Amino acid sequence: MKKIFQKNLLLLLVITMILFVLLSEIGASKEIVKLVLWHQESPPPRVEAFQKIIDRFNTEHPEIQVKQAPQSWTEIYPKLYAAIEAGNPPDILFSIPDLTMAMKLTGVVTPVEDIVNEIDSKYDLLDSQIVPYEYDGHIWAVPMYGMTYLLLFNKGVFDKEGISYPFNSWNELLDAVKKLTKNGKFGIGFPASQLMMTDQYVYSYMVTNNCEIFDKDGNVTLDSQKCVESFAFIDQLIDYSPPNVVTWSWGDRGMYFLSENTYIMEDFLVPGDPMEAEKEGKGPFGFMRIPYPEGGKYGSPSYSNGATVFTKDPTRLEAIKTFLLYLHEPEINGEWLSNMYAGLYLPITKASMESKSFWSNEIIKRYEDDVKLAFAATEDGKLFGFEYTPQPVIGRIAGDNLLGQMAGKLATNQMTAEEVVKWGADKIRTWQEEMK
Amino acid sequence: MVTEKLNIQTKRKFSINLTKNEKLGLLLVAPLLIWLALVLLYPFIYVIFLSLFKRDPGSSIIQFKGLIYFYNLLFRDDLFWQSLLRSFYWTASNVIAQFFFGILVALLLRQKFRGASFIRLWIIVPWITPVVVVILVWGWMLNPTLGIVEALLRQVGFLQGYLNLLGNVKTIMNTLIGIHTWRFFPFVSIIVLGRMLGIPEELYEAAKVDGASNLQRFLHITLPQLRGVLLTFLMLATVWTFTSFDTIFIMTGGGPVDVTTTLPILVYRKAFKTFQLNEAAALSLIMFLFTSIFMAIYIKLGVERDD
Repeated sequence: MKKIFQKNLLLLLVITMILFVLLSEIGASKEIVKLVLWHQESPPPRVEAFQKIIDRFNTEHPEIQVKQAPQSWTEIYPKLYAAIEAGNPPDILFSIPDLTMAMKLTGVVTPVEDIVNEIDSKYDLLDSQIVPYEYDGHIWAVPMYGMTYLLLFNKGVFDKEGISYPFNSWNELLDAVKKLTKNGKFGIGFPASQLMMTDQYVYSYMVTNNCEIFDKDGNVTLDSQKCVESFAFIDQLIDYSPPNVVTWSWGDRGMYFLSENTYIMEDFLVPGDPMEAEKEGKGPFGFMRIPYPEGGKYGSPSYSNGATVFTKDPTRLEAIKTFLLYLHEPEINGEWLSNMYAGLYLPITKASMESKSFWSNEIIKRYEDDVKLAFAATEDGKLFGFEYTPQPVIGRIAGDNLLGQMAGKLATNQMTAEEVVKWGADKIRTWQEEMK
Repeated sequence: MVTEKLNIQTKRKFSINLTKNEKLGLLLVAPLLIWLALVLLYPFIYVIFLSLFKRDPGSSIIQFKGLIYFYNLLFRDDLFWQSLLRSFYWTASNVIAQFFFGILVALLLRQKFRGASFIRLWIIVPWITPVVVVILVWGWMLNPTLGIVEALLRQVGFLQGYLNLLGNVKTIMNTLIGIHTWRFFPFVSIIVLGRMLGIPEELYEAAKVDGASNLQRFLHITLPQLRGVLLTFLMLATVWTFTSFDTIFIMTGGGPVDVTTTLPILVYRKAFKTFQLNEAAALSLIMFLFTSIFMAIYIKLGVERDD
């Protein structure tokens, strides 16, 4: 009895082993390519929107399995460096131009012009979104969506004070700000802290006045007369801002604006928060394009968010191409971006801008005029340091928040506009020398 | 024969004869030692490597750079010297203020009065409150337009306009010192109070009988009895404050316009904002040098005391 039992057990073991080998062979013949995607849109609704599209892609493409790993903007720089150092970067990172540039300098980024060209030929990609990633003969990231600055204003207070909008010039903006600053309230909240947010505000008044950090030949032009004018104007706006703007963090500008302690702010198109404030009786709120002075032109800080690729394996590259092309299919693109946060993430192909899935979103429908405004702003949007062939020093300029520091020196009366542009230009030239 | 004897003696001199208990002890602490080597020793050696060699992340090419990164910091970076002086000011001011308020409150709490036990328990709250909460609350209270401090001062007529302690380059550093002191002086109070309660009452009585005033009793009885505790605190507070990062980083990030940038903030900026890892490593070693000097001074003072 015991011997029969032992024989049966042995037979069972052998059958199990044969089955295991057979199944492994079957598994091996259908090799799945697993891709890891890092992005910095970590609030839960955005992660859910990503996951919905990813799940659909994974179902439709069982040979490719994409997994997202949300990060935060504050930790992405050191975390990415550590991952590269460990030889384990993600396959795809949704990045912004200066981060891609910093990574490209380490030599680990794969050019992706083939993917970009295919998306462009199929769906007509906005040129303004490709420019920040095209240099050294290649394109270093696949533009996925845009985020563009507009001016938000308190329509209710504007109407009450008889201020007309939209603004057609800097003078109109300044006059409004002066009129609104009274009784402990401020016309505008212009941050002067050392953050990317301040860089973005400052750049709004550079790009609209043809003030550039570099010219097309790479020479530093931050100390031009146009830049003196821009920073002199910024100085005036700071004068009519709350006194603690030098220590503002990201949340402060929205908090002051939505609680009606300031009446003008700049941000990406984020209708969600103003909508909530309107339900509490504040506002109503509106959006307009950033005005320009005489001799200037429309322009907005615009961030092209691009998919930076780190792998060089042909099989994985092919899988990445399939995934990115999928994300750019107009109806999928429209659904994905509008569900992440309606209005904040803008489609950047002409086809997606007309997709039914994008325009059928309730919030997008409600803010249709403002979204169209954002599209127009995206088409002529720019990013400081990336107007022409980007200079390697831009990583330092963005990392050190140089434009923010310049605003800080104006806000603390340490320098005049003439002095601060010279200081900034000299800083950049010194860094360029150090990098040689 | 002589050579053989010498060899045996040399072997005995350099051989480690451990008892069974000693071997067991080593075995038991070995995992901890390995862990310490991994999380302390290896990163420390790597920082030294980064301060002398250049290697881009992900690259296998290594270039020996010698002391160039130290040279750049010492002779080409104005912000280094400004941050160093600021670190000294930050450390000295905080330590002195924590000493002063810590001893003062301990003296008060030593008295017997109604509620003394309750206060002794709750005085520690600032120290145990998470630093993020402390900074956010103080930031709100000191907000010039929306904060309670300035609102109250305007209400009673003490203030016209804005005080803006956290937005004024002349006051921001001292304001941060005040907040940091507020957070840490209870720790000093508790330690000092604990020691004070151990001082024999007879000493004070005898001094009183001899006609010593309160101040004399404090200077000649209390302080000498507290010397050991105060020296220990001096060492800890100096090192902790010199290397502290969180208060300044959360409140101001080192701004505005670098007026609150101390050495730890500068290390963070160089490493994680501008990716100057080599300079950051060199700067970390300079900080390590200073903290080592502080420790050496303390040990010398401690040895002299024992002598």
